[in-house]
Amino acid sequence: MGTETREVIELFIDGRSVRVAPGASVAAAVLNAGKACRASVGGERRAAVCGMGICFECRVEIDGVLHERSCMIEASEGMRVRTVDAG
Amino acid sequence: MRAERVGIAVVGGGPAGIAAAVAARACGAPVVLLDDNPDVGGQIWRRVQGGPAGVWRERVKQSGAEIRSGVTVFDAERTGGCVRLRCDSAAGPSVVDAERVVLATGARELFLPFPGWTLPGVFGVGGLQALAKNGLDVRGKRIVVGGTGPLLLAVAAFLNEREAKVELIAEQAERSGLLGFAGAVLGQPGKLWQGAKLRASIIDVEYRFGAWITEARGEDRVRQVVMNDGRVIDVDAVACGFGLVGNTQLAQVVGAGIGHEKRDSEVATQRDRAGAGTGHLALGTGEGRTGAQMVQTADLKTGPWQGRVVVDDLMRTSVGGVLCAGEPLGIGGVETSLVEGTMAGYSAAGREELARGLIPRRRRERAFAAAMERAFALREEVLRLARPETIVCRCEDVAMARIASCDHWRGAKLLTRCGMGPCQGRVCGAAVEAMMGWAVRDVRPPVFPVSMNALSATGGAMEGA
Repeated sequence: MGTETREVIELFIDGRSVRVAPGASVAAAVLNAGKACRASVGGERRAAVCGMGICFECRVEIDGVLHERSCMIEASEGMRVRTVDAG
Repeated sequence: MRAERVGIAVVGGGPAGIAAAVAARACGAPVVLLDDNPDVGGQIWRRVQGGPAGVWRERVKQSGAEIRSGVTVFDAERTGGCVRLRCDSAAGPSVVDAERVVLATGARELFLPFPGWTLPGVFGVGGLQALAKNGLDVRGKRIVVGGTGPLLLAVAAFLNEREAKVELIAEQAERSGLLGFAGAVLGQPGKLWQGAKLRASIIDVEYRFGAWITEARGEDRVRQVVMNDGRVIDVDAVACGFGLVGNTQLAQVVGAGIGHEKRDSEVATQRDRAGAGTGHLALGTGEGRTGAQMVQTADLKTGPWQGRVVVDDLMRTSVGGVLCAGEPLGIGGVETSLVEGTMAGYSAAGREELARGLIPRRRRERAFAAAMERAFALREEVLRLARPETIVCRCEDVAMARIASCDHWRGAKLLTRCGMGPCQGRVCGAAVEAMMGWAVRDVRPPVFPVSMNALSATGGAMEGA
């Protein structure tokens, strides 16, 4: 995987650099950065709930792909994540 | 696109799936294990290295089973002498035609709506644990753990270990209700010891019976919780868990018979009235893939229900070549899943006598699980926490009042879009089932959202077209 040998992964959440341990999920990185994930149909801020890919509340944009379940995807070096808090 | 024929396909890499793959391989059968997580172990053994988790993970990796991680099975269909599994993964869609399939699809948490439960920072209890295992930093975070069941203790202990500040563990069950459970536990010293060890490790955390969260408050994220006695606690996160629900979606789309078991709040009452007895399975009939999707009128408004896959003593469902083990048969925990997975593996490999040998063990495990379910039965107050304006369907933002104005699940879906979002009712369906007593059983493929490409490439786009 290549990521196993690194001590820390740097990714960008809404343009801001965030560092996490290898193996961390994107959802964990988003939460650690104090951000929520998506806007609900009615405009509420929502963040991860189930942590196992079934609730779909942790959806974010990852490297240009919309609606990715951030709890199911490992953070990787240089990844660009966009959340509801992108502003 | 990848298309192939295999002997035995196991869907799900938790304890049941692992055990099934190991047992089938021990009989010399070819096995492909499909799992949607990055590594086998399921939810319960996520990132757990030592103990049984390590042993079983090693066993399955050495078994010769072909393990495919990161693969989502979104449809299953009995066709042309095999069971066709339609899959998707980062590497693209694929079709697996298996002579026999073992569905070991595990469980998810039951989430019950309460005011404020949609605020960021309100997690499932297993959800928070999973996130923390995957890098979420909980150090110094003030957390209230609430709901019901032994998972509360396990997760509180875990959070404590990770240096979170667990403010309170609120167990909705009354202490008196758990006394009977203690009796059941005593029959199983191993489990008693486990429980005691857990209690000891979080001895400095307040653990209250008959306590539950009635509301979460905050603007941008959760800041406070209100308890049923009016107490207000400042928090950074909330972990709530109201029990588990088996994942029966794939079993349903393949047409396997689903039975009802009344949730034990009701069963317990009935038993108390009857003053007794063992066995409370009230099995219904299965609905085929092309059969009427609507449940019979008799099933409506009589719950609460929990649908579970019906199997015989050899773990065979009502559909030929489709077996099932573990949580989809009713929440049973790790030990039950391991026994049933092993039985399913033997059975799928044609070694029925080996499977039969485990029937008594399975019975013991199931009896324990049933006692557990009774002890932690959900109380009415907890099922009635949602206010008219409380969002129940988080995908479509459908409030309680709109759902309550409907007569059944299908009506609610059509009128309010409840359960029509990406989670496909996995969250609100189980909640509505518990709160309203409706039978929620109209799953259709794909059971997970997939791209049109995956649908068309696997020939799975025809359904309902």
